[in-house]
Amino acid sequence: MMLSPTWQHALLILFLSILSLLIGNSVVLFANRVSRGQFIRSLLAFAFLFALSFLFWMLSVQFLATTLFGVRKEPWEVFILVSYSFTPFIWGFLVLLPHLGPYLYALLRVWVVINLIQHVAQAYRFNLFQALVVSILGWVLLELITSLSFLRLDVLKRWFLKLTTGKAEYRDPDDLVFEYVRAQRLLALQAALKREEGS
Amino acid sequence: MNTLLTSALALGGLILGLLFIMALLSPLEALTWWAGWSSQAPTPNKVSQEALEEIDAEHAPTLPTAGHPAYYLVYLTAIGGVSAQELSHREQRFLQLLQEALPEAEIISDVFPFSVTNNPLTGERLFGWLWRKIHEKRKTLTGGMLASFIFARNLFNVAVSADPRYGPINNAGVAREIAKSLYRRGYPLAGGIPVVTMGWSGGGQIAVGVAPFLHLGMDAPVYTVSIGGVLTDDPGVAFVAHLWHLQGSKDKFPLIGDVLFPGRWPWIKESAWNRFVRAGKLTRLEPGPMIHTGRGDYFDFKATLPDGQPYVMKTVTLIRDAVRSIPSPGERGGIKPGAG
Repeated sequence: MMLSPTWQHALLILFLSILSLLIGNSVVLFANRVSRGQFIRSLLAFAFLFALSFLFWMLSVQFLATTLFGVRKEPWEVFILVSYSFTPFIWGFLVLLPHLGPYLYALLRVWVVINLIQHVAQAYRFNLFQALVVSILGWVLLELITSLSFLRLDVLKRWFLKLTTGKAEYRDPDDLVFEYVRAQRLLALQAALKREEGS
Repeated sequence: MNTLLTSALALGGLILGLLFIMALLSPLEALTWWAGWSSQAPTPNKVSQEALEEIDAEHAPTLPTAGHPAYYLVYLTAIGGVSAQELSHREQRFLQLLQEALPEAEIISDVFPFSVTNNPLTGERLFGWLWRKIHEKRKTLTGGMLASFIFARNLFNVAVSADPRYGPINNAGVAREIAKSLYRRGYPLAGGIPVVTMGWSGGGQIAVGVAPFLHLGMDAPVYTVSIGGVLTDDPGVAFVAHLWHLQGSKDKFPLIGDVLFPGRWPWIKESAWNRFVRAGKLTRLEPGPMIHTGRGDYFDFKATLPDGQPYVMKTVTLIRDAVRSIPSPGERGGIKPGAG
């Protein structure tokens, strides 16, 4: 079965966006000292998690447009319009740039939301307010769900990452580096004291 | 004419492209070192062995401080440097004069601040051969232009050091090299002897960035001297006991830090930098009409102040006075009055 050019473009955009964003945000993997093999597996695992949030955003657009404004589109149409909105994330690897990276990431995210509002308005023939509600409510919902602690999504995420990558947890670079320095200090102190006793 | 313009544009595009790739890849040295992908990786599970091996048996660190220098000064070169072993003549002369002015101090200058493994640009690395060629030719006109890539490479490394995502890793690596050098010079661990990190230009950021790791890793009180340093909003400043910032009236480079790093903006009241300044731990010193680098900079021994003092001597005097205002291990609680 041959996919139409629109589908091909949408899938390519989604694939490149995910790949690029993962590379841009890969510092956490380096910080956690993953091996080359774990690095690849972690990228795949993070890609899967990213695809889940994409799916959620897509479904939320579909759900909100239908329930709030009574307009229904086929799921594949929504898939294509959300994919196209993700185009700016193709530049996600720029997040790696020192100092500028985090600012560029914020800029890309805003650009994606603006894109989505524009695509939703066009595809559903919504006015700006309707497009805003449908596009942003889904994002707010996603943020809420992922930050509600009683849902224990973090536990689920950790379990999944452990299963796929073999890493028990992913920690901040700060924590890891300070832990390393403290360990070095303790051992150097022990070595100094040992020599002191020996002399 | 058109061909000339097209060629110039193509060359400009090529240079910009190269700089962009250099910026993008700049965090990789620190990240791959930390992840254990490079040959000189830290081995967290075998730290005991590593620590024991790295402490030179002949200069074993001991707790008592008697007989040790009163201060350890660590000099970190500027972004034009390729290696700690190849400091410019002016820097060498400055360090020599500083040593004469501070005979009670041990001055260390064998750490290259823009590498986590103290690996010179001209050392064993993928593009070492290229940096060597550029460095050899930097005295010629073409080489001088190509040397801009050395500045750019090290400048990106300063940005890596200041970036909260990469900074801890990068700065811990450089601090580790400084710690090794201190051990080699007999620095007594936990003895409380002040370590003064002293950075010129981009080295100023590294001097601040390594402070938390030297402080926590060696129980060392860390002080910093910035010589026209480009200081960022690195939270590591919280571990600096006092910072003296020398800035010539004609040196505008340090303003880069004031503008580019939000934590330096005065209205971000709770940033580490602004808290540090409010705590009275920053002393700004204006040595005279020095520029950032080149003739008339902080290390110039020909240019003189109206009182006839060479610029380099003024720099040395200010640093000497600052360092001597540091209380000895027995009298902590703030710097002595009269330091700038």
